[in-house]
Amino acid sequence: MLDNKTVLGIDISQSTINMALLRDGADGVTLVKAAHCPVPDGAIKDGKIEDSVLLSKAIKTLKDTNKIRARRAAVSLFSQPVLMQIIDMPKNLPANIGQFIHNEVKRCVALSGKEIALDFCSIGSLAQRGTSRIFVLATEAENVAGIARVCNSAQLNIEVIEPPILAYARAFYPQKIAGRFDCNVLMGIIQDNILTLGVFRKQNLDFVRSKEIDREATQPEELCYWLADQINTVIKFYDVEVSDSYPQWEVTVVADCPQLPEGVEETLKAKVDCPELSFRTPQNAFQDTFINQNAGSDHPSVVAVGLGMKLLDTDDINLGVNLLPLESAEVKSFKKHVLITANIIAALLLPMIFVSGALSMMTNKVNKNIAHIKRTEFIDDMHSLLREEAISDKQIISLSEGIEQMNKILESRHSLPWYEFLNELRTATPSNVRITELFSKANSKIYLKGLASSYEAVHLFVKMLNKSEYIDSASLVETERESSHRGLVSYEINFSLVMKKGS
Amino acid sequence: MLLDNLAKSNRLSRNTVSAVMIVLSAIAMYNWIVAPRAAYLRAVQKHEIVAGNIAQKSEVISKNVVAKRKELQELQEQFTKLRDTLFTPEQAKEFLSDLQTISEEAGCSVYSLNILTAAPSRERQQSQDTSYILPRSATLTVIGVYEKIIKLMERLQVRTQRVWVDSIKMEIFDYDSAEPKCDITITLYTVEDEEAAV
Repeated sequence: MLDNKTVLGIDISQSTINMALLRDGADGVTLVKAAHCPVPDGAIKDGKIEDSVLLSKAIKTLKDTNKIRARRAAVSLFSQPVLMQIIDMPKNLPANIGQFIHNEVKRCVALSGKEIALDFCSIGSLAQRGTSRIFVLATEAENVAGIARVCNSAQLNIEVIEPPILAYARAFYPQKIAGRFDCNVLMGIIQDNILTLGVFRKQNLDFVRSKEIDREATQPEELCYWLADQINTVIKFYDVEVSDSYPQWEVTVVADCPQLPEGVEETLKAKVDCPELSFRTPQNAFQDTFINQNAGSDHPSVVAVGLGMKLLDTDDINLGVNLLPLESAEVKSFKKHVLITANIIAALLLPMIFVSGALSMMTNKVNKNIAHIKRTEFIDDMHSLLREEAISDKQIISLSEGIEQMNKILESRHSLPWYEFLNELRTATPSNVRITELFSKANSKIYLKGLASSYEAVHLFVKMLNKSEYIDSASLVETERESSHRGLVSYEINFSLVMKKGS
Repeated sequence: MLLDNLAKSNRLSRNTVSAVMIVLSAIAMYNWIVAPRAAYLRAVQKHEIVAGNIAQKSEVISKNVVAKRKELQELQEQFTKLRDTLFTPEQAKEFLSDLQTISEEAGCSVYSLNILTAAPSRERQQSQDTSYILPRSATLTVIGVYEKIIKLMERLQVRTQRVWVDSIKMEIFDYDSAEPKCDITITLYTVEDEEAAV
């Protein structure tokens, strides 16, 4: 898992690409992995990137082959020209220091007329020397952009670009610089035919100079003498020009230069009046660092280690320069910010999709339920049902009225089975009684008139009538013996009929 | 240009822009993804409630309709039964015109037959809108022996349609031999408008 405590330093020279993977743990900084490979032919020429694709491919291959993964990386400034200068600032500091330094750098012949990438930082404090000193690092902007492009193509997140001398100083600082308050420390770095000399006083960078190796000094011995001369020149400069200079010197030379002869350390000691002189090659320079080393990382590049340490904030040396354009860092930061924002938005999208899916499922369930209701119930027949109900109501009312009317008529009429009554009447009539007239009035009233042989026969007749189920209270209205009818008795009987209603 | 400005802006500005973007995106996503489905779900749920209510009402109405069908059937049966006791105008016309034949078949000779013109009944006058039953009356005078008159009465009254004998008058009759003159007033009812009853 990648974290901010695992960093990668990349040292690129004209001949070699070195990588050092560092991790800052509880036991301090540890060199986790180191790897190197030669720079492909034609990738870098005369301190310029000739083929960025080739170079980035080589870097990526080296990284992938050795399974080196880190979020953050720092790369060395390997292109030329590079201007490193310490400027004594005037007591009245200009308002725009950046512009002031930019104008100063533009005076450099190598960088004049070109777009410049520079960075600077103050060295020591104003109180230390009574004046302010600025360390300035500058190169062509195109070179920096080229390095950034190469590293981006190699899928490296570059945060720092700085020259090898600073990486060396950082790596050697605990053992070579820290605590040296009574002597001057001179550090000489030879890489890519450039000699860089730096002097540290009271743990601060005090002097820096870069110089191309003398092309006339082609022989190893001559080269060795030239190097000693350069060191002596600096020491003499301090003896003459710097009033509070210390007489003791500690000199460390790291040379990646195969032209130097064997026994160069003895030669330099003989030529340079300094007993504390040590000579290191890239193969053995690592022993002067305080970094723990894992197994399997042979001859790690001190520059790569120093670059990695820059990212781990173990920067005891007060040189916070970085040639990576501020805009590049801003763009990276902005990209990171955009990425985080996009991730948050994507993270928001996911639950919304889930919620949407859940809503869809619920909707489908409800729709199925509705379909079930529609299928099983009579929703579609609602109108026909209502219509039928209305028609039924109308018919019921009509029929009820018809029935009521018929019942009313039937109940208003009394019914008598006249044929049965007449039969009953014949049965009830005694043989000595004769009916001369029968008529009905008001439907239920019957009047009988007739003749009988005797009163007894009339009374018997009345009695017989009263026994009939169709007759209600037959009564004798009048009886009279008729002399004109041979002494027969005339009678008049009336009675009411027992009427049944309706049926 | 805008991106350049954003890239150069400070952390607070970026955070603000990011927060705004996130909020706007969240609102947009909610409005585009969640809100339509939520609204659709609400609508469907309301539809479900309405469908359920309609189903319940439909069931109630269906039960009502079934009950009313039954009631209607019962009423129709009742009505048919009652209507069968009345005459249709054609049946009445036929019956009245057949009175002479009926009398003769019963063994009575018709002395006179007077069919009264139909007049609006009391019932009809009371309920103008639904009345369709009209009374028809006839006065029949026949001559026949008592037995035949009884038979005529039976022929008049023992039938599906009801015939009411309103009055009867007989003079000087002998049960066995005499042929009294008998005045009979009958009334029957006709259903004038059958369609209204259906």
